[in-house]
This record gives sequence, C-alpha cells and structure tokens, in this order.
Amino acid sequence: MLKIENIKKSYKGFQLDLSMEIENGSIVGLVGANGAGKSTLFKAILGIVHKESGKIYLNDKDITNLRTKDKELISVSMAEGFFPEAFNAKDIKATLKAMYKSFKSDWFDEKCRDFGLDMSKRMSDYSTGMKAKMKVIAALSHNSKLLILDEPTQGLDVVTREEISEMIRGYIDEDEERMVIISSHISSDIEKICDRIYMIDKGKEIINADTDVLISEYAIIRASEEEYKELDKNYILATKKDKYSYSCLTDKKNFYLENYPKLIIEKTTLDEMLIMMIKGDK
Amino acid sequence: MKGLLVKDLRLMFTTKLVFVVIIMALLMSIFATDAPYILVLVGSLFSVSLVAMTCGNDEMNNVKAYLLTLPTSRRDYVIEKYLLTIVMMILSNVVMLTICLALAFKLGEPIDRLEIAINLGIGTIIGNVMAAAVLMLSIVFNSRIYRLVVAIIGGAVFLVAIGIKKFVITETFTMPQPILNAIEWMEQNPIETIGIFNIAAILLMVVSFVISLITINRKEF
Repeated sequence: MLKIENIKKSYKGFQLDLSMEIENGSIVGLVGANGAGKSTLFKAILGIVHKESGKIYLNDKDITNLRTKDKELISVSMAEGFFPEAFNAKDIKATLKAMYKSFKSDWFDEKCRDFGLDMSKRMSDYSTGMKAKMKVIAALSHNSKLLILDEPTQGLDVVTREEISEMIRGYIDEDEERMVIISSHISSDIEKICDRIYMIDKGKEIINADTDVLISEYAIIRASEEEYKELDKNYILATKKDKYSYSCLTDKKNFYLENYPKLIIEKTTLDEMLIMMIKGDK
Repeated sequence: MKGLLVKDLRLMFTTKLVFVVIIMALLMSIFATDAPYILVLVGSLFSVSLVAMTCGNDEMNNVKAYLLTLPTSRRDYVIEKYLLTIVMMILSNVVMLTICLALAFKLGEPIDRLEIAINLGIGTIIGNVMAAAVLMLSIVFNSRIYRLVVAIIGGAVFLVAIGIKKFVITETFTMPQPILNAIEWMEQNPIETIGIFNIAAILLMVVSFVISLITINRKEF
C-alpha cells in the first residue's frame, strides 16, 4: 500500500497539501488542471523535491528512507524527463539493465518490436507517440510494486492510448501486490482504467471517490431560478450560474431523482466535474 | 552507480566526440615531423570536456530528474561524475602517451622524458582545475545559471590574462622580489613546481567534490 499523510510542499502562490491511500492491486487516477500539483506530488513521492512535512509510506516503509535497492520497487514514467535525446533503444536497454537486477531484457525487445520502435533510431528521431511508448516500456521493463505514470498518454492517438492502457492493466493483473498511480488530462482514459479517482486543484483534494461511484452517483442538475430556490442544497458540491438557469454538481444523484422528479438530472463527465469544482461556487 | 556509468559512457560514444578527438590525434600523428608532446597535454582537457558534455546533457530535458527516479541516489550521481572524470583522465593520458611514444619511436627520435612529464603535469593541473569548476558548477546551479557562471568565469580569466600581459609582461610593472625568487625557483625545478600545482589542483577537486555532495542533497529538480 502507498500511504500519503498530510504531505505539504509550498511554492510561490501554491501549496500542495494532500493525503491519499493506494491499495495493493488498484489503479488510482489523479485529475487536475495544469498547475494543480499532480507532478509536484509525484516528485515529492520520488524525492525529487523536498516535502516540508508529512509522511509517505510504501508498504509501511517510510519512503524518505528508501535505499537505492528499494527504489527497484518503483517504476516511473515522467511527463518531462527521460534518457538523453541522443540515446536509442539499445542505449536505454543497456542502461536499465545495469540499473535494475530484475530487468526483463527479452520483454523489452518484444515490446519494442510490438510497438514498431526501431531499436537503432535515436530518441530525437522518434515521434511524440513513439517517445511516450518508449517511456512506458522502460517503466514496465522490471519487476516493481508501484508504477507512477505522469501524463503517459499525452499527445497520443486513440489506438496508442488503448495499447498503453492495456499494458497498464496487464501490469496490475500480473501481481496483486502492485499498484498504479496515473495522471492524465484525458479523462476518458482515467475513467476507463482507474479504480479510484482523486481530483485536485491548487494542491488540494476536491473530489476523491471510486470510479464506479463517480459514474453512478455524481450528476449535474439543471435547474431554473425557481427550481434552484426550492432545491435542497445539502448534497450540492458546486453550483454554476448560467444566464437563466443553474447547473449544480451533486454526489447524490438518486436523492434528487427521487425527490425532484421534474428536474433535469444529467450524467456527468470527469471534465465537467472538474470544471464545476474549480469554476463553480461551493 | 553502474547504471550511471553505463549511461555516461554510452552518451560519450553516441555523440561521436570521442571519435573526433581520436581521429584528430591520429591525423596529427600521420603528419607530424617530430613527436607531438602536445597530445599528452590535451589528454586531460579532452576527458574533462567529455564529462562536462554529459553534465550539460543531464541538465537538458530533465534527464537528471529522471535518473534520480531510477535505483540511484544523489550521492551516487556526484560520485559517478568525479569517478568518471578521474578514470577518463587516466585513460586518455595513457592513450595519448602511447600515441606520442609510438610516434617518437617511428620517427627514431630520442624520447624526451622531461618534456613528457611537463606536458603531462600541466595537462593534469588544467584538467583537475577545469573538472573541479565544471562539475561543481553543473551540480550547484541549474543549466541556465551554470552556463552564465561559466561564461562569467571565462570572461574573468580572459580579463586577468590581459591584465597580466599588460602589467607583468610589459615593463610598466616591477614584480616584488619574493615573486621573482619564486619564479626563478620554478624555472630551476619544473617537476617540483608542477607537482606542487598538481597537489593544489587535486585539493581543489576534493573541495569541489565535498561542495557538490552537500549541494545536491538540497537541490530540487
């Protein structure tokens, strides 16, 4: 299990202040606008930035005390940052082989072949999609327990995104002790593969729920001004006033369906939820 | 650390800079009419330049941040860079010395041991000082500031050189007697002089290494 307890990190005009838990065998999605703190959280987990307070435990072990050997338990694909552009797949393979005891050499070759990645071509000559695939292959090419993926599907077409999603699912299916934390701007990808979703804004959690709960319980209520006045606001998370009506985000869809049968209650998307939580009045 | 070494060695060969220098050395050997002792002098400089290139590359595209997510530590990163510099300096000096001796042998020239020792000594002094500065600066500062600091230091060295030329070499400046005595002693004892300067350069490397180790732990990427 990955347990993050009250982790804090401040920059000018920004403070990350989060707690979260990732159970073994689960895939957790991190959703937020640019600058919400997703990459900062990943960097804090990985010790690339120094957290000001809070604790991070990986399988009950304080992650700040992780030895080099223990870092083999973590696989990472960063949105920004990888091997030098002058490297080709052979260079990457040789370096990873020297880094990880559990490096799967044949698997690496096989995946490069499957994804049509030329082993002798430099990274600088790869397309955006090829680079993204290479990053994920590199991350998955050894036996780890925690997989951290920061925007792995950024700039990819729908077919490649599906292939990467398949690889992530395959990773978690192989070992029930494994866990994945993934951030993406493409909410449909997150919705499809994640068991739980954390939405963050300005470094703080705004929604945290199981994906099936988000899909089944969260909804947008469209109400006229009179309907809005009559509405029980106890289960309204955020409200946005349009020209002649109100849009309200709720996490108790069934309550409003039962008590306000005349209201328009629509299924919502992650993007819409995020916009409502950021732009709407709480 | 093994992984970092593999990465840097691969990067050196990928960029082909190694081959350019070897080809230049071989060309010098082919067209030389006497033993090119200068090769022994440039060996250290060449190796430091290669390691500096790997440092610069690590700063680009967040390579360093990514490397620190792999099973390696900040301490390993610093140790690897200094270790690589030392190993590369020894290796390149051996290669350059071999070429130099082979050429002297081919030309049937007597081997001038003093000339070799002086060139090797000066090369390692400059190499050590360069390595101490470049490695520390690349670790202490981010890439933008690093380049700026290197440019400022380069400019300062240039101005100092011009100043020395103007005030010392021309006769407008009378040197104090102790300095003149020291220069005289150095002229009479070149090997000892180079030895002392080399010890100072190695101490500078040690100081640079300690500062780099302390600084990298505080840095964020």
